[in-house]
This record gives sequence, structure tokens and C-alpha cells, in this order.
Amino acid sequence: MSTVQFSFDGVTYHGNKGEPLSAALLRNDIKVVTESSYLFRPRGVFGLGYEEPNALVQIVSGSGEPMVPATKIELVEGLVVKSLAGVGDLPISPDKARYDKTFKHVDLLIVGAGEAGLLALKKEYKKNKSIIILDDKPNVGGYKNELNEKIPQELLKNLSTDNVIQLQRTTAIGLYDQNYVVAVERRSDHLSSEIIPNFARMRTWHIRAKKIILATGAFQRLIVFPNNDRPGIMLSHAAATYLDKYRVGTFTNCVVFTVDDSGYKDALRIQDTGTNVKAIIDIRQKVSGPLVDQVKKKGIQIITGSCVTNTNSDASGAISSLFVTKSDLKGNINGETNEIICDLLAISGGWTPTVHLATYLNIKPIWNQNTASFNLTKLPKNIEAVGYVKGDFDKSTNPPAVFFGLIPEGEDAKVSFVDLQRDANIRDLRRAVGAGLTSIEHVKRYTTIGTDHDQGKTSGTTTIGLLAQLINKAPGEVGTLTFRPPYIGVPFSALAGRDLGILSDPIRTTSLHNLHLNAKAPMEDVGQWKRPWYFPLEKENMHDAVIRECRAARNDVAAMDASTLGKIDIQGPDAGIFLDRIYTNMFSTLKVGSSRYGLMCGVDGMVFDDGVTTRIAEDRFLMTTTTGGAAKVLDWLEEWLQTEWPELDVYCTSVTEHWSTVAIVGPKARALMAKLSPDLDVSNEAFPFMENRYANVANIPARIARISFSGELAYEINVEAWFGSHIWQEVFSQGKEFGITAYGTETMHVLRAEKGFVIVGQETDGTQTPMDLDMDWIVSKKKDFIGKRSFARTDTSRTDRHQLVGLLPVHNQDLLPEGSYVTKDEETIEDSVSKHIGYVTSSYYSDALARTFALSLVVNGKSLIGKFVSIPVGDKIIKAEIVNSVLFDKENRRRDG
Amino acid sequence: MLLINCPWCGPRDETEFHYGSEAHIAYPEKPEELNDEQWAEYIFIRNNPKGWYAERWVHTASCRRWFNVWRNTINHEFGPSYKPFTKQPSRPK
Amino acid sequence: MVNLKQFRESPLKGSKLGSKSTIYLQEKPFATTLEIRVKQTSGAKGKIEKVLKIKLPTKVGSTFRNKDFTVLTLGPDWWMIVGATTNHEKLIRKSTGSQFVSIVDTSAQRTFIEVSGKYAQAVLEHGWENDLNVQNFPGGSCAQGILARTPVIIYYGPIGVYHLYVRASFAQHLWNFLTDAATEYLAK
Ligand SMILES: [Zn+2]
Repeated sequence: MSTVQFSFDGVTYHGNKGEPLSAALLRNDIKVVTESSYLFRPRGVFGLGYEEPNALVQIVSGSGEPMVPATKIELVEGLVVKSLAGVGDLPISPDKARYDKTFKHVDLLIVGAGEAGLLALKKEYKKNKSIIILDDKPNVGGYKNELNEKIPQELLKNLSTDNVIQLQRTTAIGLYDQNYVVAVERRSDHLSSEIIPNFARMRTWHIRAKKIILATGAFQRLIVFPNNDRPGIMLSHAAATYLDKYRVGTFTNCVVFTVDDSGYKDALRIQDTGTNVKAIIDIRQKVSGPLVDQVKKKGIQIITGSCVTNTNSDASGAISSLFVTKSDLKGNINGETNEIICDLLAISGGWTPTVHLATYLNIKPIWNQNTASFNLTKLPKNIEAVGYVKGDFDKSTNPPAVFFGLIPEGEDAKVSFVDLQRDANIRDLRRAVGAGLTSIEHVKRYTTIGTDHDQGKTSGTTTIGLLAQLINKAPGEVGTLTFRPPYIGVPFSALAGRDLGILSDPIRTTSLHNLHLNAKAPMEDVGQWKRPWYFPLEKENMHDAVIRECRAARNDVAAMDASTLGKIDIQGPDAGIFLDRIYTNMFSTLKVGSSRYGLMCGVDGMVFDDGVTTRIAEDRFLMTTTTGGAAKVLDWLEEWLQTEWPELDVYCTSVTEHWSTVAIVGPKARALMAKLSPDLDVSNEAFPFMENRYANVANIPARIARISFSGELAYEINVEAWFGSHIWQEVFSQGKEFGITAYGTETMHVLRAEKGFVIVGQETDGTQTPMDLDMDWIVSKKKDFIGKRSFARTDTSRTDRHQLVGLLPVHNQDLLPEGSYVTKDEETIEDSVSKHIGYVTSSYYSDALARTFALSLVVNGKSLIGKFVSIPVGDKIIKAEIVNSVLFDKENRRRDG
Repeated sequence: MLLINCPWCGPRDETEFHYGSEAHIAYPEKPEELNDEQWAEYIFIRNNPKGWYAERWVHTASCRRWFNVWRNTINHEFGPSYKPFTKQPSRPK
Repeated sequence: MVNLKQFRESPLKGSKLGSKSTIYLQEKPFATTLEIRVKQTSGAKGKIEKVLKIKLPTKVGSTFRNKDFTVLTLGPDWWMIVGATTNHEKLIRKSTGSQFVSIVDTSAQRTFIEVSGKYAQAVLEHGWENDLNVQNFPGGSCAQGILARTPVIIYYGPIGVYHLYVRASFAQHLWNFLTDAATEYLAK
């Protein structure tokens, strides 16, 4: 065993590599580790594992971690920690360590590799092809290992086989529906106090198991009496293990206070290390058996039917003596009080099985009077409990007493601690009951017992027992607390894993993305897509770039990447009928080779998505959807085809990424198109608006569509996506003589808004009918379609609905912030309050109009055209006139060039 | 995370599916003959029982198929999954 | 006749990383695919099988493979035929005549990434939520699902290579994820 150096509260100490920090602190005689959170009482190491309520530290070295029990830190060279009183500091710099996660499906998951878990593995090994056995300690063996007992080889041999994954230092933090377990593995803190590059410090395991065996064991619990929190008072199993296994702790005189035979076992272990055990105080009247005999043989005094009634401390706050008096199981003290000098009080308050995981599934543990604990006896199929959690305690020993401690009054109540971490005491419990609370859930919230990092691992059953006593019920009638994941404190970074930065959410890009990056175009997020926002020239700001791009589109020719629109191939003899039902307007009458703009509504009649759909063949359409709506629309189509109209012969296939689309837009687009496709007759007569032609564009086979989202003459060139980059470059090299200009989403927005074209999701929020958007023309009167019936509902046909209108600020350079309220025409902010009649959905500066403008949804807006409204912006009112939503080229003169 | 049994693909994680609310709510044959209240009932009103519930899911990320399944709303236990337009299995016990 | 291949560009430009002794990732660009939709009960199904000399397996997640084609069963009436071209589409249409079948060329829709090497399964398990244990996902299986929040089809080839089919817009994200997930294994 090698010696390592570590730092605690700025002082350098030595300890053995791999031992728990709590052991190393005791090795260095640090009995007072910290102060309690609320009452600032000195506290020392109390437990051995995650049950530890006192000895919390902040890890400073490596990644840093704000609140970790010293019992669960393995000593490594260079470890730096500081004590803390229940509240840690989150490190303020980013954690440079790596964290990851993995998904596993196994036949069997065994939680806990103590004796019970290993026995289960032996029994189940042959029946299961894939097994995970996990355990939160560095080694298997659990309790046995802490007792220094050897684990039989036959229990270990299956661990190192191909179909078993053995995970140590791994804690199951949650159990969810259908046997889904999340476990966190600590992989590097025991190897180095520094961050190990390219190696995950923690790994989160997402495990789906056909069968789960809970072998989670138990924690010892405390006993309540006045001043039961002093340093030097420890759980007996922890005290014995520190002394016996780790050979740490300098104590002279020990007293054991017990409700069960574990106290005897631990007394013997402690005595064997050379520490004098002066007495065992047992609440039980009568005890017998081999352990008792051994204790007697060692000459240790046994004081039966008695209870510790108080303790004294030395100057440091550590225990210096205790008082003992006769007591019954109700805590009625009777008789003379004796003082015993001691510096170690080992508490054996009984064992609390770790039932947390099962309770996450709303499984109620059942009270067992024989084990004085809540056990898992009723479990769903495919989950099994073994060992302590099932209630299988050591049958060779005397049953434990059902005794949780004293319930004193007055000043003593304030120092009789139930939950050491919360500093919650008998006074709190009495006040809760005094206030009329009888439910454990209410008492928990009133007293905060069980709400800290340890979730009451040492205090939970004690609280239930004492509450039961106070309200004259049995513990089983009170029931257990509701535990919630995670079982232990887990850093968010462990749960996040690699889902950080660019991996935090998929980034979708078009085939032209790298060209846009080369052009130094800032990107706009549109759903998961990255789209070029604008294409600035050197030193050009966004405003100027957008004006330049708009001018190019309106006066010359400009090009944009339109590849992100969702595209769905719809095939089948009934495709036309299908689209008639989906869209508000007619598609079955569309000529092959033509395109039509369509609007689709939900059954509630609200606009849901829109786009241009093209008839490719008699029985084949190519639908486009909004960029963000593609997946939603495909689901929608499938839903109607599969669940309502299975008689329709139609299939839908997503082809969004198969095509790259470059739109060339502007008065000179025709000349450029002719140059790109010399064989194509681009005249308006031969290739009219809303029609499609197949031709080679710069040698590449393409479908060219006369579709315009700007009002200008425009051609959309569709090619297989792997040719996208080539086409874009050809458009720019051949378009140079026409002054071709790239434009981004911002210019696209300005151009479409000038024309009053809506964007679903910007002008709509799921509460607009086509009529609200001034699109009555697209709603067919001849046929039924999804949503039609809703247009006749009272609510959708009322006249005071929000309607789409344009807004022109009175001062023509005032830009209305999108999302601003529109209020009645008022002069001051105060007067405008509560008079809002709508909101601004889109707002831009228009080069074509030489002024700002906005689109807006206003109550009964269409009837208000020509009227003025107020828009409160900051502490000012901006006045604007309500106008028709189409502000530019109302007669559509430009679209044919 | 739920493990949902797709009738075509077998048991798969919830992340691959989208929820479709109560099963067996058919689109009315003649919507125009319904009054506002009946139409609103179809659009907006769904059962929300404590216990077994026949509901719809779509296996969005895989086979893209819609199907029905019994689920217990108390403990998320699943009963049988079944394809649309097939006989509904009886309510699990 | 101009050779169009010179104008093509794949999403990952043929990127590769690692070695077979640990983990090896490689884009295999420009595979051609047809997506076929036809009812199991339709006579057209048999005609497609006959004209291409393939099988369209019944069970979702099963595959067929010969020297020309790999057929992945993605749904009860949905197959992806890797290796089939626009010419094959014409052959099928001719053989099925007026019978209802949907055929879509989706060659440029997805890119193909091969994941192989000793730790291939481990790397995928960092983001793929479905079972990859060989007894439940043996060679010749395919599954469509979510890898690193991205829609992906995984085909586990007969020689222990995972073929990932990812929509082109997600290709770079998936590559970023895979190369990141490979970090620890590359160092072994
Ligand atoms: Zn499925």
C-alpha cells in the first residue's frame, strides 16, 4: 500500500492510496470535520458510504465538485479538498473533463455486488446471455468485504467472463418504466486528482434490462437522544470498519449503543483492534446467543434495557462522556443515571434497506416488525429483490428491537437530532405533529427531514418510527417517504455527457453550407438548420448588406439557397384526391408540370403549414413544406392515410435532402436562366409562371420551377443534392455579367413581407384561419377538406378575430420591434396599457418602399384599414397606420419580368 | 423512458415515437351535419382515465406506422399493441 | 457526353478516421438507392422481386443481399434498395405496369458511413439507443432509429461492419458525434 499526500482545508496530510478520505481524516486524527449547516455544531465522520450526513467536502482539485461525502472519495496523490457546512460552491470555470454516456440492453441487471448480488449472479449466470452487475464501491463483496471476510472464489468466477459487464464505482441513480436504469460510473477520480485528457471522468449508463435484481443492501441508522451528533459518535459498522479494516482512528474508550446484534459484532471488532470497549448498552431487556457469549467472554459489560440519555463533549466538541439510564422500548426513562467516560460512541440503530430504486416506480415497501425495517416484498414481474432489501437479515441473530430513540421535551428536544444533515430535531418533529400533521410527506416538508443530499438515508426510518410513536400508530401505518431520483448527488456534466457545444443538438446543413461559410455569411438558426442570414461585403453591416441584396433582387438578379424546404414525394393513383382533402384548395385539377401554392389546416381550421406542390406525373406530386414543418407534415400525411383513409392508394416519401434548390430572382433572372440552360425556351409564353421544365443547367439535369416568394421573376433550379455546390458556383460565375448577388434569409423575409406573403410560424401561432390571414381566396367552397367544418364554428366565424394587416409607422424610419403590442390609438404609455388589440409579427426596413413597415395581427384589423394605432416601445409610443398587408407591386406586374 | 412495442418493429425506446392521444376517435363521416358542440367534442374532448387506456402512437423514427396500444396510466404498464383497423384486444386486467 | 461524376460532392468528401484495430470510420459516398413502397399483398411485389432478382423480405429489420443489391426492410411496405439506379426504376415500372407501387430515387438523400474495427459497437452505443448485442442484432439486420438525435438507418453487414445511412443534412453532425465518441478508443 502506497502513501499519498493530500490537502484538507489548506493543510497537507498523508494517507493510504485508495482508502476513503474519511478514513484518511481519521488517520490524521481529524475528528471534527465540519460544522453543521444551520446550527453550526461541530460534526465528524459518521458513516461509511453514501449515507454519510456530516463529512461533506468540496473537491477543489481536478474538475472540482461542490458536495461529496468524504466516505466516497478514494485517496489519490494531490487530492485537494475543503470542508463545507452543507453548502458547496459551484466551480465558476467550465469543467474541462470529459463525460459521456452509453446505452446497453441486457438480459439481467444486478444492482449491488455484495454477497447477495454475487449469489444472484451465480444462480442466474447460465440463464442469461448478457448481464451487468454494478456496485458503488471499488470492489465487490459489500458488507462482507468491510468485515474483512473473504469472498468465496465460486462467487467471483463469473465476473470475468464475456457475457458479464462488471461495473464498480457505479451507482444506479434512477429506475424508470419498463426496467430502465440510469447509472453513473466514476471512472477516473481514483486514478488521478487531475483531469485525464480524452478519458471520460464519469460515464452515464442507460441500461434496459429484461430482468432486474435489486441487491442494494442496507445502511445502519442512527438513534435519537440528546446530543447524539457529536464528533466521535458514529454508526457502529462504520466505526468498527475504520478501526479494523483501515486501521485508522485513535480512540481510547468506546461504548456501543445498540438495538440489535450488529452492535455486538462491532464491539468485538473494535475490541480486537486494541480500543477498549467499556460497555454495550442494549435497549433490549434480554439477549442471548453466540455473539453475546463472545462479548461476555471478552469481559465487555452489557447494560440491557437501557438507553443513552445524553452526552458531554470536550473543548473541540467531540464526545467525552455519555449518560445511561434504564428505558423501555417507548423511551420511558426510569431509574438512576450513570456517566461513562468515552471518546467513541458506536451506534447500532438497526438496518435500513436501500429500497429507493423500487420506490421510484411507486412501489410501496412493506413494514416488517421482525427486521424493524421496510422491505420489498411486493414487486412487479421482472424485478426481484434479494438480501437485505427483501428482508433477508441474518437469521442466526436475535431480532432487533423496534426502537428509534428518545422523544424528549424542552431544551433536550432541540439537540436530539433526527436528520444530522438538515439539523432537524425532535423539537421540529413535535412542532409538526403539534400543527396537526400526521402524514410523513407533510412532516418531511415541514421539518425538511430527508430533503438533503443524503435523502435521509440514516434518518428516514427513524423519522417514520418516531412519528408513529407520537401519533400512536405503527410504522407500517405511517408508510415510507417518497424518494425521487437521483439516488445520490450527480454533477449535471455527467448527465449531459457529450451533449455539449455543437453536439448539444443536431446542426443541419445544406450541400452549399461550406460555400456559405467561405462567403463569410453569418448563419441564422431555422429549427435545426443553419441558413445564411446575409452575405456581407467587407466591412459591411447587416442593414447595408440587406439593402444591397434587396436592391439586387428587385433591380438585377440575386440568388439564394432554398434547399431547406421540406420535400415529400407523394405517389399513387389517389394522390390528387388525397391532396384535395389535405389542402384547403384544389389539387386534383392541377395539370402535370404545374405547381400550386397550398395551405393546410388542422381539424380545428387553423393554418398548420403551407408550400408549393407540383404535379410531376398524373399519379405523382412533389410537395414542399416549411423548413421547420417538414417532419410534422409527413407525420400528418401518414396519420390520415393510415388511420382514416386506408382505401387511398398513396405513399409518401421524404426527399428533403435529395434535392438542392437554388432560386435565381430578379428582372435579369430570365437572361441568366437562358445562359445557364441554352436549350430551354425561357420566354414567358413558353415557360409561364407556376410551371416546371426539365433541362440541363450547366450540364446538370434539373427541374426548373417558375415559383416566386419575392414577387419578382424567379426560377428555382432543383438538382440532386450532390450537384448543389457545382450549380451554385455556376450560377455565380455565369451570373457575374448580370451583377448576380447572393442573398440570405433576412432579405428573403424583407422581399416576401413587402408582398404580404406570410410565414407559417411567424405570422401564425396555430390560432389563425386562412380568413384571418386575408387568404379567403385559397379556401375551396366546392370540396370537403381537413378543417372546413371548423370555419363554420361560432368562434372561427366571429368578426373580432386577429386579422393580418400591414403597419406603416408615421415616422417612416421608426422600426417596430417584432412581438410589440399594438394598442388603440393613445398618446401615452399609461393610456395604452390594457388596450392592446394585437401584435407585430414581422417588421423590416424596405429599400423598395424607402421606409420601415410591419405585418401585424390586429383585432378586426381589416375593418381598421386607414386608422391609426399606437405601439408602445420602451417608454415611447410609436404611431402607425393600419394598411393592407400587400405593400409592394399589388398588381403582381413583376413576377413575369 | 417507456419501452413501446411497435407491432412491426418490436419493443423500442419512446424517443422513436410520437404520441397520438386516444385511439378509436374516428373522423366524423359527415362533419357538416354535426352541430358545433358535437364537432367540438370530436376535435377537443378526450378521455383521461385512471387505469387502462387505449391510445395511439406513431413509430416516427423507424417504420413510420401508426398503431394502437393499451397503456395503464397509473404505472405505465403496457398491454397489447395492435394495428389500426384490427380487432381491439380486450382491456388488460 | 460530359461525365457528371466530376461535378458531384458528397457531404463528408470521403472523410475517414482511425484504424481497424480500434475504430475505423469512413464515408462511402454516392451509393445509389431506390425507396420502394408496395403492399405485401400486392402482386407488384413479386414482379419487383422477379425483375431485379431480389427478395423484399417480409419482416421489418431483415435484409436481403446479393452481389448487386442490398435490400433493407424499413417498414411493412417499405424497402430501400441500395445499388439500384434510375434504370432499375424504369425496369420496375415496366414490369409492374398499372399496379400501384411507389418508387422514389433517394440516392442523394442520404450519405453512407461505415463503422468498423474492434470497438465499432462500443462507439455506436454511445448514441444508439437500441440493442446492438449480436444475439439480438445479428449480421444482416437493419434498424432505423435515432443515433445522436439524428435519424439513421443502421445495417449490420455480414462481416461485422456497421453501415450507417444518414440524411445528408445531418451527415456532418453525425460525423462530429462519431469522431468524438471514438476519442477514447482511438487512444487505446
Ligand atoms: Zn415500427
